[in-house]
Amino acid sequence: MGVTANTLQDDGVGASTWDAAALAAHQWGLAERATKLFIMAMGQKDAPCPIIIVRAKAGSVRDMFWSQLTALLTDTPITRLGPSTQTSSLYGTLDITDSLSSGQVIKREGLLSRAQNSVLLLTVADIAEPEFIRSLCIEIDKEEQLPQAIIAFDESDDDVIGIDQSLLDRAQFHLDLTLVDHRTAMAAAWSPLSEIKHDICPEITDKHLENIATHCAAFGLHSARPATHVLWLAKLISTLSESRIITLEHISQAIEISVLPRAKHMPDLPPQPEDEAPNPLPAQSPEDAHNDNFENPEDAQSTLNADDIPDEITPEIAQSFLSKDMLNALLAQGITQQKFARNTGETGRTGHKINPAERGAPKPSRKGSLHSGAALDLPATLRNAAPWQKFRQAFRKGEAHQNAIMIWPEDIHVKRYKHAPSSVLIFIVDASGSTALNRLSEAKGAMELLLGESYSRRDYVALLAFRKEGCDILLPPTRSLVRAKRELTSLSGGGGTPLAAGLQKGLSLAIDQKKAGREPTLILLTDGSANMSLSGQASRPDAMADAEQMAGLVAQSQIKSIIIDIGKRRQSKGKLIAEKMQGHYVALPFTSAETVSRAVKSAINT
Amino acid sequence: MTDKISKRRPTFPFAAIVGQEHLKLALTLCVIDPSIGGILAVGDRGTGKTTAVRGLTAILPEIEIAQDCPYQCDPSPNGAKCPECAANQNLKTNYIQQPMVDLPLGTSEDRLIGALNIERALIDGIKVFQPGLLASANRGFLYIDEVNLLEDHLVDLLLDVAASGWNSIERDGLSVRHPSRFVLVGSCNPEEGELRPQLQDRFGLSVDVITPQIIADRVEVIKRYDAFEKDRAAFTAKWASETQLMQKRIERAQKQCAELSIKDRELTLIAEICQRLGTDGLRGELTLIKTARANAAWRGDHAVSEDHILDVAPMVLGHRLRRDPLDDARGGARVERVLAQLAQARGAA
Repeated sequence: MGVTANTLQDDGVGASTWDAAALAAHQWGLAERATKLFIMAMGQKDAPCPIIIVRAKAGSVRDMFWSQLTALLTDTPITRLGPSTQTSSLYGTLDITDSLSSGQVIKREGLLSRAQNSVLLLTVADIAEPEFIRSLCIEIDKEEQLPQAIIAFDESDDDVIGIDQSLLDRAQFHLDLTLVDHRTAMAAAWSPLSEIKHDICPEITDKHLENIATHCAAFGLHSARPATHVLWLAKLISTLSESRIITLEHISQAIEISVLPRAKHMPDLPPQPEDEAPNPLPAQSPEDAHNDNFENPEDAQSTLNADDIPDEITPEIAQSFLSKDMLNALLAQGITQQKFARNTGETGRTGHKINPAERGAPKPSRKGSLHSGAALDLPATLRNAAPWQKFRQAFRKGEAHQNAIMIWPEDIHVKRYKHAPSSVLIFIVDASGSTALNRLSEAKGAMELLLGESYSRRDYVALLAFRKEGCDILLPPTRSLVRAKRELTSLSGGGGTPLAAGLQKGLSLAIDQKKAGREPTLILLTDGSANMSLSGQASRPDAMADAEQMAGLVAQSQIKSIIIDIGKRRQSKGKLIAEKMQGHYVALPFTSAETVSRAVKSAINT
Repeated sequence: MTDKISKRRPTFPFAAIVGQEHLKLALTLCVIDPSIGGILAVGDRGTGKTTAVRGLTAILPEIEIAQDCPYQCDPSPNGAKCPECAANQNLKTNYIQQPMVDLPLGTSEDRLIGALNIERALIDGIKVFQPGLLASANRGFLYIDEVNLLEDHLVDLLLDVAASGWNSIERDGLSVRHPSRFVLVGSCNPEEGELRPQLQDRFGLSVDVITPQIIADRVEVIKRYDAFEKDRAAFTAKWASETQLMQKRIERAQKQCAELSIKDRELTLIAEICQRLGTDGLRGELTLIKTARANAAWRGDHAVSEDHILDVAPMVLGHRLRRDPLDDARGGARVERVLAQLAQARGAA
C-alpha cells in the first residue's frame, strides 16, 4: 500500500487512501511484526522485561491474536491476572481463609516469585487498581523477581482513560487492534518465527540517536524511557535483518511500534505564512528529509490548536514538517486527535472506580474477608468467635495451638468507614457571540472566585465551553487550579449558542464522575438564549426545546446544578432552564461577582 | 527460557546521571545533614528521580545494624534503638547497604506504619507487631511517588515521623515505638494538583526536575543508558573514580558540617532574604541556615559565605512563598528575582 508524495499532494485528503480495509490490514500486519519482536526480546539474555500493551475489545479478533501469540510462545506457561487482583498477592501472604479452615498456617507464594518463569497476562488492565499497577511497576524497576514478559490487554473505549500511565511508560511495545476486522484476522495464519542470531550487536550513529530523541520530544514524550525503548527495538529489528548497523528504516519501524501509539500531540510546526501554498516535498533522500526537519525543534514557534487540526490529520500541514513516511505511518495506524487526547491521560472519563478513602466516620463493622485495604476489627471478630469455642473443640487437629482461640473465616469482621466523596465542580460556560459581547469577563471573574474557594475545599474542577455548534471539554476534572485559571484566561467566545449540547456534555461528565465516586455539581453560566439545536440546526424553537429536554434529564439524574444568568436583561429563558433543571438560580446583572460566589457556596452546601 | 536477571545487579551510577544538578545537589545536602528535612521533587515521570535516589543509596557507605532486628537499629552507644535492642547487652551486628523504600500510590496506612500481625493473632493467639514500611526505611531513604495524591493524613503522619525520627503506634491493643529516621523524597506532578501549603512547607527542599530541553542532552541520556545496559560492570567501573571522589567528598563534608561557623553577617543576609520574600514562620530561615552550612561543607570551604547561601536559597524557599493558588509563577523563579533585587540594592549601598 505505497503512498507517494504525489498522492498526498494532489489528493489533499491523504486519509482517503487509507480506507477501513487498508487500516485493518496495516494494523494486523503491524501486530504480527511487533509480536514477533516481542517474543524475540524474551529470548534475549540480560535484557529488560519485555512489556506489550494490546488495545483490543474482547471478541474474535482478539481471540485470533491470542491464539497466534500463544502458538509462537510454544510451551511457556502463562499466569493470568484479572482486574481485581490484590496488590498484596504480589508478595507472599498468609492465606487466612485456608489457614483458619485447616487449623494450620498456609502461606501463598507471592505472584512475582511464582511467575518468574512464565508470562504475566493482565486481562482488562485498564480497570485494574492503580495501586496494583504501580506496585508492579516498582517491582519491575527493582529487577529482583521478574516474569519472562508481561502482556496487558486494554479494553477501554477511545474516550476513556486506559491503562495507568506508569505501566504505559515502561511498556516497549504498543499494539492497537481496534480497527482490525474479523475477516482480516482470519485471513492468514502468521508465519513462524525466523531464527535469530542473538550475538549480533548492531551499532548506531550519533545522528541517528538524535533522530530518536527528536522524534520522542516532537511527539510530546518527555519521559526518558520511550527513547531507550526505540533504541532497543531498533537493535532487535536490525538483528532480525542480520545487519550490523542500525538504519533509519529500522528506527522508523521501531517508532511505529513504540512511539506513535503513545504520542501526545502532533509535533510543533513552524509558523505557516497565510498566503503561501503548502511547500512541496523537496527532492531529497529520506535520510536527509529526516535530519533537516528535526534540526532544531525548539525553534518552532507556533503550536497547533485543537481547532486547526480536525479529526483527520491533513497532509498539507504535516508534510512540510514530517517526512512522508512518518505521516504515512500515522495515518496508517488510524491515529487521530482523539487518540492524542487519550494518551495525555485526560479525557475526563475514568474507567475504574477511584479508591474510596479509608477515612471518614466509622460505620459498624461487618463480615468480610481480609484483603489489602481492609482493616480487621479484632474485638468484633473475637466476640463472634467466642460462643462457638466449646463446639469447635471437636474440630481441633493435633496438639499445636491448643490455647489459641479457634477463629473460623465466617467470624472475621472488617472495619468500614464512611466514604466522604470529594466534589467536582463542572463549569459549563456559554462562550457564544452574544455572551462574549456582554458578560464573559464578569462570568470569568465569578469563576475565578469560585476556583479560589474550591482550592481550600480540595474540590476538583472541570471546564466545559459551548459555542459554534457544540461543546468542548477545555479542562477535564483536575485539582490543579493553575491549569484551570490558564484555561479560563484563554477562553474566548463566538458563534451560536448550542445550549443543549453544553448540557448534554456536562451531564454525561457528571454521571461518569458520579460512577467514579465523586460528587458532581453543574455550574451553568449562560444567558439562556439557545439558538443551536442538538442536531446542529440554527433554529431557536428547536434549540430551546432541546435545551429544556436536557435540563429535564439533569433534574431526573438528581445532579445538583446552579444556573448563573449572565443575560443583560432578566431573561425569562434562563429562569425557565433553571426550573426545568431544578437547580438554583442566580442572576448576574446588577450583582457583583462576590454575590454570585456566595450564592453558589450556599447552594453547594445545601 | 533463559535465566533472565541475576539479583543485585549494579544500579545506575549516581555520578553518571545526565543533568539534574539541582536534584543531585539537594539529595547530597540531605545526606550531609539529614535534619534539613527531605525533598519535594516536582516534575514529570521518567525524569530520573528514582534513579537518582537509588544511585545515591548505592554509593553511600554501608551501615552497621543490629542483626535480627526488623528496624535496622543502630548498635553504636548513642544510636537510636528500639526497646528490645536497647535492653540487649550483647547485640550481634551486621553490615548492610542503606535501605531505600519505594512507596507506591495507594499504600494503606497499615502497610505504612505497621499493624497487628494477623497471622500470629489468629493462629497462635499472640499479640505481635507487624512492622510496616516505616520500619524498613529506618536509616535510609523513603521515596513517595506522587505525594500530592497521597491522603492528607498519611502525608501528615509521614512528615511527623520524618521530623521526630520515631514511629509511635497505639492501636489494636498495641503500643509500639520504634526508631524511624529517613531522608524523605516525594515526587509531585504539578499538573495533578498540589500539596496543601501546610504540608509543603514541611519539606526541607524543593527542586524542579525537568526533561532536558536540548536534544544533545537527551541523546546523552540514551547513550549512557544503552552503555549501562550493555555491560553494567564495565559502565560502573568507568564511573568508578568519579564515584569514589563523591564518596570521599560526602564523608568529609559530613564530618566538617557540624564544625562550620556561620557569622552574623551571613545570618543577617538570610533574614533579609526571607523577609523580602515574605515567607511565613521561621522554618525557612532555619532550613536555609542548615542547607547553606551543608553546602559550604560540600564545597570544602571553612566558613559559610554569601555564595553558599544564594546557591541554595531557591531550593530552600521556592515552596514556602505565600501564594495565590491561581498564581502560575514557579517558586524558584520568584526567589531568583528577589535575590537579584537584593544584590542590586546592596550594590547601590
